[in-house]
Amino acid sequence: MAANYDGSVAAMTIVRFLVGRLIALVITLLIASFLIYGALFIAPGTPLSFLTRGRTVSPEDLAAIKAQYHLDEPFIAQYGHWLGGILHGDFGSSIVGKAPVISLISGRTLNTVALVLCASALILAVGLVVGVVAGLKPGWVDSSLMLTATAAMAIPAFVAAIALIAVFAVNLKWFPVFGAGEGLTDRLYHLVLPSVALALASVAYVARLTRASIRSEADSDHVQTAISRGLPSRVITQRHILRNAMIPIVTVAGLTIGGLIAGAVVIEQVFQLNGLGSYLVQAVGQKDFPVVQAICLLLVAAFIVLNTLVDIAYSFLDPRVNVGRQNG
Amino acid sequence: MSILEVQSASPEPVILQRARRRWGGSLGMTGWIAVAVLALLALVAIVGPMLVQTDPDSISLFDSFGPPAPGHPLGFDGQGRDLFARLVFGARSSLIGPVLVVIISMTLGGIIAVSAAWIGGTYDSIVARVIDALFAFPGLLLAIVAVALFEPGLLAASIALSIGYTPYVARIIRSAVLRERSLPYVSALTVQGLSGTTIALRHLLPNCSGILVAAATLSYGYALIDLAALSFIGLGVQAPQSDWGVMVASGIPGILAGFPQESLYAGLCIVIAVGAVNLLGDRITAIAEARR
Amino acid sequence: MSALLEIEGLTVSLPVDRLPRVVLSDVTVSIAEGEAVGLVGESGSGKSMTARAVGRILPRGAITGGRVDFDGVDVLGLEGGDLRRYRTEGVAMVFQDPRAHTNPVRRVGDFLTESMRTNLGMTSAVSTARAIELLESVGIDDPPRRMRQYPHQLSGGMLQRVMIASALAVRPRLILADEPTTALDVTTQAEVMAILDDLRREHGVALLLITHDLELASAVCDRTAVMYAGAVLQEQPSATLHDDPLHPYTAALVRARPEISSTSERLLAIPGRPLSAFEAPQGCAFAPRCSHAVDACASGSLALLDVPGGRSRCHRIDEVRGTLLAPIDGGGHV
Repeated sequence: MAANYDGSVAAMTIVRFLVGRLIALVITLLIASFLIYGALFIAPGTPLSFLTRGRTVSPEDLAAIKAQYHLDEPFIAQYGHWLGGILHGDFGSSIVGKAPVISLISGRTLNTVALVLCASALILAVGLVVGVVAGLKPGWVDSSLMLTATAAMAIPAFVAAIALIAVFAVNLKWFPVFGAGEGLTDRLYHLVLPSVALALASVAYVARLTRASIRSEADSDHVQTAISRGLPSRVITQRHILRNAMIPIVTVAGLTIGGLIAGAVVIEQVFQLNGLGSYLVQAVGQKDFPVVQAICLLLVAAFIVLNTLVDIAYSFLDPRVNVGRQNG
Repeated sequence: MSILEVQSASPEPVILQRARRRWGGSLGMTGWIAVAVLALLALVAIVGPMLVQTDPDSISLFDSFGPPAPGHPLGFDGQGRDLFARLVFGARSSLIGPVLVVIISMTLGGIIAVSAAWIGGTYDSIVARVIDALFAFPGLLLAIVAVALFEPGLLAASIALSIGYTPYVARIIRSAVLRERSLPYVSALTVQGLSGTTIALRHLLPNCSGILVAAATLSYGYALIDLAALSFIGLGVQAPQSDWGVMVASGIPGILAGFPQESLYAGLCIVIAVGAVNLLGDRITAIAEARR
Repeated sequence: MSALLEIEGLTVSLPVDRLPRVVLSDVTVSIAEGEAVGLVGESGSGKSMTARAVGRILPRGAITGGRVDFDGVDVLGLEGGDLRRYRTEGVAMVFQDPRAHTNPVRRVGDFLTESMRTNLGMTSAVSTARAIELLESVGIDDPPRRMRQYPHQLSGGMLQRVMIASALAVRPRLILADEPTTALDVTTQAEVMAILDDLRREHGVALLLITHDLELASAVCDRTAVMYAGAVLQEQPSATLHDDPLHPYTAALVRARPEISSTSERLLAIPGRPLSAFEAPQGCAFAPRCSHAVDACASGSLALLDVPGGRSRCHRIDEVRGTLLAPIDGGGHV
């Protein structure tokens, strides 16, 4: 039957599209991992001298490092070993901690994920809502919200962090300053100030872009057609303005959340949240390069995966992008 | 008004008239306020340290967290150093560092983007793919890795940030040039026999100037924040140098002790600078969009 | 017989840089039930703005004056449910660029049935069936398949037919067609125009055709009005327009069209450029470009007067009528 044939052809095209995106994802990850590994060789001096600089190293430790990095083999082989190890969960050994990196970072990962999730929730809940309200109601509501957003965008996360600490933790004593807390409610309690600080500028950014997108759709020609057909304004707002405006907004929101990954590094440091970010800064200070490499790889990989998901979501939301959906 | 009428109406030199008509009209009050604030900050950064008499680095534990006093309008930090002097001296690294980042990233990104957009074909597709791949590296992470490889400091951080921003800048410039290149006047100029470089430099880029200036302004804002953040976590400018990012960090013990001045004043300076840059960037972007 | 649509002294001004700017200074035209009237003008004449005023989709901040009566009811003052009913059962608009005027993320079927389901309360099944009927009547093949497609999958001509179908869906009494074929290529133009004309005659729907093409309007419409600088300058039955135009401007437009059957020495152009309403001088807006102008033309405000065979704003029409199309020697100007 023609319909079935169309259906299976469409399904094949969707699969082809997804496989294509997956391949692009893997290639980008490979390039990123290559660059992260290769960074070791950009450092001044030989890799061995770089890894051991600033500390006294026993001959056993020296041999261990040589073996871990396969420093006697050609570069490509070294990269291959490293990559192979990573795919098996072996991120090498920390020079400082003398323990497998994986064990040192697994506990900390949760703290970072929790922070990013909370901040993302704020961006979606507050940013989108403020943007939609401002976009749909021109007037003083819109102007004051956008003015606040413009001001908030100028406040970097770390400045917001210390201001929040000064006011809410030290002065009003409503929230704790340092640490990640124990147990679900305590953790959330400890995450309030950090996630607000991290999310503030992004909330403002998403709010402004949401408002702009909604305004742009509201002024578009196809909305004129809908109005001229006598459709009620509620229907026009929901089905024509919001539905269309959401497509680019989803993309922006997704990318903004990706941007939180880098900002989390600084916030974790301020609030001593003991996550991947603060560990990264610590490792840099301690010249523990295997840890630096591992954490960078994880953060960059998370960023790349998130961007790919946003890209796929956009392709499915906008029918003009050809992914082989069922449409005759 | 025609240009003839403008010329006869006022004695302003023509070039200023043209500049004012091109930019002045749409810059608006907020735009000019932003320009004024940035000019003031630039002045403070460049000339300030020569005019301020107090030494920003002299420690005096007796004055620790002291209140404002004659000759010390903002009081003292935790180590008895004059806050006002430190803010003025800190303006240099905080405000000029980002300029370096913008220059390097715009130049690198510009060369890559313009050459790719102009030459086109396989070269352009490859460059576009590489730019997309490099987007995976947030500038801040690159800077942290750079500091891990070399020594902490403004230079390493700035160069790493520039490289991190290059994909962002390259993408903007590339799409602007591609758009411009598809306009009929470019074909007309090519047919007249002008070389690619001449067309690019004398016609294309000036017409993209609005977008370029907007991109530069916004990059400056991001660089300001990122460099301050790096100095804040100790990987950029190093304490005890006065730099606004450093001051926000070194003021944390003060906050906990109930003296938030150092962190808050330094933070306020950063916010004012970034706010002015964002406002100006907004207005320039609006002008560039309108002229498209 | 009272007119279906009666536009009387319509004025519109729009805020530009916060100052009001006149775009329509005096539009007076009427359309009877089932009649087709063409509104012809160059850019800036205000013809599109007239259609928008009738359809009540003027930009934010627009100030209107005068009357637009539909079936005796003043349209300019309608609000809420009355306004929506007017837009559903009264008038329907067909826009110039169908691609910009259709929602790209919704299917063609949704576009066609939305008004029927929402405003007339039809069920999904009934409205779908009717939509398929409409698509057939505008000459689109395989309607069920097209219904499932998105606008970007249809060509410009097909999309404009869909637009026409959607306008007819809820059985309006008047269609406002704003340059419906301008964005299409020439062959498609003829097809689409034919479809629009056939269908509206079949269903007895009146038509206000906005166009810059005088010939098109005369061919399709029963009567033709000509606009310039925000005002209607004349109005007459299309049949008499080419032989006996009621205004020097119309005559100039007629002469400016090169004859395909003979060769002429020069193209006859009208000197100067068309003005918008806010640029119009005192008196007759066309006077500075008119070869029949006298001093009296530049002063006073001129009303649209009834003359034998139509209406005209030219106060010299009785004198110059009949001579407007006579050849002028030298200069190459009409």
